[in-house]
Amino acid sequence: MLTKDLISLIAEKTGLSKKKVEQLLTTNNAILRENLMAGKAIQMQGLGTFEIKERKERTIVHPRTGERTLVPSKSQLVFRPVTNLKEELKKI
Amino acid sequence: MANNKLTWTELRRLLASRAGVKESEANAFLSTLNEQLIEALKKDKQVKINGLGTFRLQSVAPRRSVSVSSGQEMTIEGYNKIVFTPESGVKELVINAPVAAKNADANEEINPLKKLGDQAEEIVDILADLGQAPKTEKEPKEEKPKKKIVKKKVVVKPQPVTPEPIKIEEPEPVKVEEPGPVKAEEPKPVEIATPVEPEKPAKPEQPEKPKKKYHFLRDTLICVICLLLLLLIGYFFLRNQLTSLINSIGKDKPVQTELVEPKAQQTDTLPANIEGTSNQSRTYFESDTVLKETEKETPKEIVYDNLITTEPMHEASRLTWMAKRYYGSKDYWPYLYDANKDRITNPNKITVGTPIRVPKLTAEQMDTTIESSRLTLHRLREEAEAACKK
Repeated sequence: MLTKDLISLIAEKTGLSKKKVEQLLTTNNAILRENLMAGKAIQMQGLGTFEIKERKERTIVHPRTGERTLVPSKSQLVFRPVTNLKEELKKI
Repeated sequence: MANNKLTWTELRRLLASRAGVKESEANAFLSTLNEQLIEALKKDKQVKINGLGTFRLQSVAPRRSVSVSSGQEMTIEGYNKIVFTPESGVKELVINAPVAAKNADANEEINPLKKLGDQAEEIVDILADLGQAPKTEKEPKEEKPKKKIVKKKVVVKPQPVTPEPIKIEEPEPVKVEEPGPVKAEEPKPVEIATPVEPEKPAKPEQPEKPKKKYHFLRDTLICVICLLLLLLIGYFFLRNQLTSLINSIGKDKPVQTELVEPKAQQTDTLPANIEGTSNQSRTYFESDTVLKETEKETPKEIVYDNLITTEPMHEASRLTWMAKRYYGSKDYWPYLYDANKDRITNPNKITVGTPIRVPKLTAEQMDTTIESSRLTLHRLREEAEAACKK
């Protein structure tokens, strides 16, 4: 499903106009991005949390040449669904 | 960590103020967003939200496992899980997020750049440490060719020198003269290059000229010594061969009669005998090289009197497997080939149904710690492998 479809669905359910929903969605996404950039985790009720996980630096060995290189540490955006949702989706 | 979390209510308020809507509306929007997201996930298995990322429902197949406590096999049932992949833009934004967050407390936006620079420097340092070994290896490589040229010059000189000492030692001067120079020329580049190379990487770091001259002298010395050694080895090897040749010529005829007899005794087919004899007769009439080969082999020719069985070759069988079955190790397969030489032209292509004699090997033959048996096994294997290439 694409964003368009989701917007129209939400508009239908809430009774808001599609434009309004679209605006809300984009601002919502902007807020999420800003907060994530600031290193904050975001809790979405009934859905899950978006958080940033740090991946430690590590050395990798090239299997053929045996060359060792250092992969620097980096952060990743991770989504952790709420346990309820997780369990619910498991059974589908 | 409480500070580092944006809660539902905070999000709701922020959204309401930013978008200019009532909080209740924002709340309704957010909850329906989540609701619809889940619904859509269930239905379509994939929901894409522009500016954030994609949620996917991924199914994990059932798999077998072993219960840790009881050790019984059990199946872990398959299930679905949500996978979220952030949009590439969002991903990049987030990559350095914690660094930015830490610095935001102190100096806002200038520091992250500095920190990045520091990290880069650190990484460069570490990489440099790790990379030192390969770098040093590259330098000597460039200098090697120069020294090789030097070697070549050196090699030319000792050639006239070397034959002299050997001539003094020679009891048979005629035959050694031929192979001496020939043998010495071939191994030179290989054997000389190997001992000298390991010393090179250390040398290039000392650029002083007098030291280099000293090294050249040492190189030449090493070359000369190697040549001498090679010639000596070659000389002794050849002498051994010659003596064995002379011995074998004397022994040849009786051995041949022996060979034919056992073949007749063992349950043979006629064509096999003919092939065997014809092979032997051929060798006598052909050129010297062939003669030498047969003469080397014949003194050690093994007579297989005791047979375990005679097994017809079947489609999926190999000599090595038969050796493994009867002798306990694949290594003894050349004996099988040797015992059936008259029937097998190529051990890799044995026609199905060919009866293979399985001779009884003596304990001595099986014992590879005895040098003579090891050598015969080696010789037989070489023969067999040569036959593979025919």
